[in-house]
Amino acid sequence: MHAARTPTVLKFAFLALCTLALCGCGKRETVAFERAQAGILLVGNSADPATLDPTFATGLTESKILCALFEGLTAADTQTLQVTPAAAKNWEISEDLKTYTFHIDENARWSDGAKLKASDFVFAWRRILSPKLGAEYSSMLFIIKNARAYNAGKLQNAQDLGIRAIDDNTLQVTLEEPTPYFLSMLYHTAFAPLPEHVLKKLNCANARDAAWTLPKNMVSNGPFILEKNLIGDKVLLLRNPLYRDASNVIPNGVAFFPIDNLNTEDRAFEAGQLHITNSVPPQRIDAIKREAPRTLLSKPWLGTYYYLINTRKAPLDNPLLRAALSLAIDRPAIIENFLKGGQSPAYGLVPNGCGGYAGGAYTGFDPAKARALLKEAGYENGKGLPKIRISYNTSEQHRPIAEAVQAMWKKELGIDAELYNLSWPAYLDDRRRGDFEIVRASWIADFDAPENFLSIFESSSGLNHGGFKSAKFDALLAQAARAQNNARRMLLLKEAEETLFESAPLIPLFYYGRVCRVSPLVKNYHVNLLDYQNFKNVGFDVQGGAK
Amino acid sequence: MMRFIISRALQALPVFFIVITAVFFMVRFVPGGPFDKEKPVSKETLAALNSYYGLDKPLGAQYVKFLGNLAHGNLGPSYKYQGRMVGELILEKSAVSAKLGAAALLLALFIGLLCGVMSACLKNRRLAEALDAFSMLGICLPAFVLGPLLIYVFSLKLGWFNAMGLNYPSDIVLPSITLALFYCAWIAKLSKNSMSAELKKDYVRTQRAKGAAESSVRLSALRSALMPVASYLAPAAAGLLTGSFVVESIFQIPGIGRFFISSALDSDYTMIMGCVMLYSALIIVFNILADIALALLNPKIAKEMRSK
Repeated sequence: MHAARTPTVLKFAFLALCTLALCGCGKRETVAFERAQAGILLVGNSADPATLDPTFATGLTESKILCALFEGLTAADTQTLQVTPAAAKNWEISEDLKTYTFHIDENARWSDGAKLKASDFVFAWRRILSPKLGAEYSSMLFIIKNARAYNAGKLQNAQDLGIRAIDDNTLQVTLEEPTPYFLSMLYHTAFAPLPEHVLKKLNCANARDAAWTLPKNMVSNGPFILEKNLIGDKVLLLRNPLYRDASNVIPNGVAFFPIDNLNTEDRAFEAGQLHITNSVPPQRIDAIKREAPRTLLSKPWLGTYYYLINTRKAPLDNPLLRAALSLAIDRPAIIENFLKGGQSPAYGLVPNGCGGYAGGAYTGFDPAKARALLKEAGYENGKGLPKIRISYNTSEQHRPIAEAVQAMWKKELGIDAELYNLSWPAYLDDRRRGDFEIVRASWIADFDAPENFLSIFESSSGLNHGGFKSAKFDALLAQAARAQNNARRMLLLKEAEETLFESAPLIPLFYYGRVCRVSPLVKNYHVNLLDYQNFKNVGFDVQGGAK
Repeated sequence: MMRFIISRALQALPVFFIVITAVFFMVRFVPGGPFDKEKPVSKETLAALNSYYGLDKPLGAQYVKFLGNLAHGNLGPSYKYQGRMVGELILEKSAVSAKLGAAALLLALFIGLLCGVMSACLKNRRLAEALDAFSMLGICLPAFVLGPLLIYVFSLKLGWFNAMGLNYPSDIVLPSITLALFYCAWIAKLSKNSMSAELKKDYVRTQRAKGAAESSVRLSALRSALMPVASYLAPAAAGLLTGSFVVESIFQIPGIGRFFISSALDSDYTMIMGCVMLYSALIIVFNILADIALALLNPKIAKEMRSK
């Protein structure tokens, strides 16, 4: 009797397995192959876009999508970041370098067929600067004349802003100071035009209302248009047939998948469901280098990971101690053992090659010098020094880095550090209130210029949570902003960075690297220093890639 | 019975009210705010944002406004997803989680009961032990291990399924197995224990002595044995239908489960409230349903309900 029942159980198991197999059968080719044949790119994006309104977009997640939807006055070569004409076919710059006159391309249209006018830029820039709307990236436009005062509500009349539509095809912009990197800021999404006629029709012009960004309403002027925006699932863009340069757009569409889990994204790539990933789990990099090196792309990225020191609190108010801590860290060891993804050791704040800036090494790995400085600071071999707290937010990356730094300080200087893990909101709150000793920080550039990094430590900066204040540093940055000669500007900025490191209010650890996986089915995908992409030139190699 | 249901629903209302009130105030005392970012906004911008969303008003006024909106079925805008309404997002996402949860629930019930009851009835000790081991494994094996394991075998090695998304009908198989296993194992364990206990009771022995067929004896024992399972199903169903952060993250499922965690991390107050309300409402509803199921299974309880 028992013998008769056992096979019943086995039958059930067999049946379950067959059902499982039947459910999965039928898909011979991978999704990536099928979609490549249809000309649709499948791209991993780290999260859902919080908004698709360029006025309110703040993150890289949004920027990737918006650069494909909207085209600013200029664009950039995705390999070199060289500025190229886009919605503006050309421009003139006044002698004092403060007034730019842009001529809009006559072929430029919105996806509903309406002509792209200079007034669409005026409307968009006034909207982002509107004090009522609280646009997070309004400060990007403060280089424009009177923009800061208008945004703070000190100037009421929008006509006083340095933005003027001379006629439908001519836009004149007046800046506060000569800003040599102005043209390279213009491809940032904060400077994108907006379809004034659509926003006004839907009553979104003066509100944080996203009705106009819904797929059924959205009108854009870039190489792609919005087809779907499904939170948690995907954002699908399709080719814009009315785009001014439509004949040169290669993909028929781009699908962005909001995958926040690095391992999920890597498995999806392995299973043939993605063409391009947003990132790669560090622990997988060695294996991928061995097994599929052709799929791995690793390039420098304009970003710095650093430890910010609270210079107001003893004992870290002592610059000698701060410099000693920095000199005791073996940065290449951290990169080789934990990060592995194209990072490089940081010995300054501004990454190498940022906007043509040649930075120097203001710190390094010199344990003997570090011990000497520590002795000079009055803490020989760490004696008399209380435990130093390193705060960081919960992350697989931050913890091992902090542990490595803790071990290096103990080994080289005899200093004890305690690690303090915080949730994201608590981390931001502690940082803002200055309630920390040393806190993990990072900065990813919005545009290709060293000012982007150095301005973090200006006395008035909202990011200067460590309390560093130097009149000399502020003056050097102000002089650099007024410099009409680029060589002089670079010299002033270099002097500012030197001044900063004399006080050592930060410990730079590494410059970011951008690492991702690209399917052999894809060609012409380039990674650049800003991770700027509009996907219009990314092509497919269905024959070669399938081999 | 109707009176019982109405009275339970009325009892649930104050509980629901207390939960949402407590959460409303608690989230506002947690450090950080919805507009905190690593690249912080200026004071003027922050003031403009707070004023736009009414967060500059006193807490009491905000609470009254929240209740007023709630009475009209309006959960307010999400602070993270600009221009999107929380109610609309929750409806959209919970439908996905509910679909996955329902598949997992059915799977857990079917396999769990089958294993549990078979294990209790089988005379073959080895097989019974094997089934017990399965339920132990299910309880111990976390989803973050099982999910990637299933993907590795059935997606990356055998190529039978996709590794992410919920775009094809077959995409539901691996995530629902991952989600179901834990519940399945508990149901197996509960039903085995209660079935074993029932089968040793006097009324079963009497039925057997009277010569009743073994199948009908077991069926009548099963009816009573299902009671602990029914009680367990209430929180289990609420948990399954509201999605799982881990499973949704492993399989990239666009469900509500991830909002439970991400809304708290983003201090997206309105979304936190929406998620808490959804979960508490489901817990309350499923507890009432479990009580009804118990009454159907046990006439004694039904009688008590009628007398209440």
